[in-house]
Amino acid sequence: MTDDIPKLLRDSMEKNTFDIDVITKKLKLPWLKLDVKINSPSADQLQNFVSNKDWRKQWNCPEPENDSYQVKGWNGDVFFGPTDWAKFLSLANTIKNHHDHDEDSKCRSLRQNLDYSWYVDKDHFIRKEIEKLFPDDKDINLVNTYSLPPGGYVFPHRDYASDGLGLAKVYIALKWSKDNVFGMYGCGNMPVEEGDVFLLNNYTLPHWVYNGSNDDRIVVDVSANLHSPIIKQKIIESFRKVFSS
Amino acid sequence: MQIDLKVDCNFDKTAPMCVFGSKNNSKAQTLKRTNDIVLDFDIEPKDFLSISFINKDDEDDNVIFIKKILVDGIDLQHFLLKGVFTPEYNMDWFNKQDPKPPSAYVPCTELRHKGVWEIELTTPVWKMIMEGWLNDDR
Repeated sequence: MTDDIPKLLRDSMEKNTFDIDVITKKLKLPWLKLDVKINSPSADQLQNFVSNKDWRKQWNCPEPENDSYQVKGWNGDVFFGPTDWAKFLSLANTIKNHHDHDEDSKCRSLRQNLDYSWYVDKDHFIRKEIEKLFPDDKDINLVNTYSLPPGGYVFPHRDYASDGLGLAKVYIALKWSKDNVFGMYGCGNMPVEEGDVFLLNNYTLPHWVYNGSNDDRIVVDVSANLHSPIIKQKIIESFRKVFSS
Repeated sequence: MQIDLKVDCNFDKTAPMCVFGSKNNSKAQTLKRTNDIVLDFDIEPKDFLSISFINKDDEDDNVIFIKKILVDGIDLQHFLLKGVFTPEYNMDWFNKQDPKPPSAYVPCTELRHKGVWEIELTTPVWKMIMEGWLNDDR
């Protein structure tokens, strides 16, 4: 560098490091495929992730109208989250415009107010895999599965968050057969293959899912502090690979 | 393009009469208490759907409830709430009101005065719905 370059330009060129907040919050990218490998669960483990709980009841969602066709077969289970679920729901209902906010947003909002922990033991497949990315529980807000049977769908919609984030959800395609669709308005379909790990922005664009395969589709969703060292490095590496030099 | 409307009504003696309209079409209909109405309207890329309530009977207090509208087989869902109702108030009633009622109601799915309810439509309808989500920065 020569000395006659203006200081602002020189500093910008020399000190322009990757900023995780710019990448995840400002750019509003629809998704970013992460260079992360997750072990494949056994068939028995996978079967356990097809939840028989009622996701809507668990989250205290209003009952849909009888003829509602916005969701078919959508379900899920929580593996890490608030330890006192009733208290969490009660507090979540006090968040301004809480009906508009998704589950991740509610868990993020109340992370400092309540105790959170794993609901499964140390040897559980999901816990072991997630702890590779997030060794410190304090960095995790929510770990849950989403299951969708053959023919199941979630209607086009947009999620909202109290903190207006962009890329926020770590999205792991645990079981993803061909003919599954994750569509994002104006961006085509997310190029998901089984085992892929994405960072997903479900807050900016309308999106939808459909399972056109003959198998259950199972996804693990992680809401976490993206400044946590391992995931932060993975995000920067993945971003650099696609967008930068 | 097919438009399906589910409309309920409250009335005792005076069944509500409506004129359903768009840029190029209109159809008058006397309503029952529950109604599944099918319109075959020629909808332009930028168009509208209107429901004119033309025989409000203040003594009978007949009311129209817009329950659901599907355009080209797509449920407008909560975007129905973007519809604007512009009443033509009974002036005897209006003059007695203090404060005065608004010149238009939105959201509004209950037509309790004579007047016109109207919603903008653009085609393709799926894209109109997506753009609605896209611009909904609640």
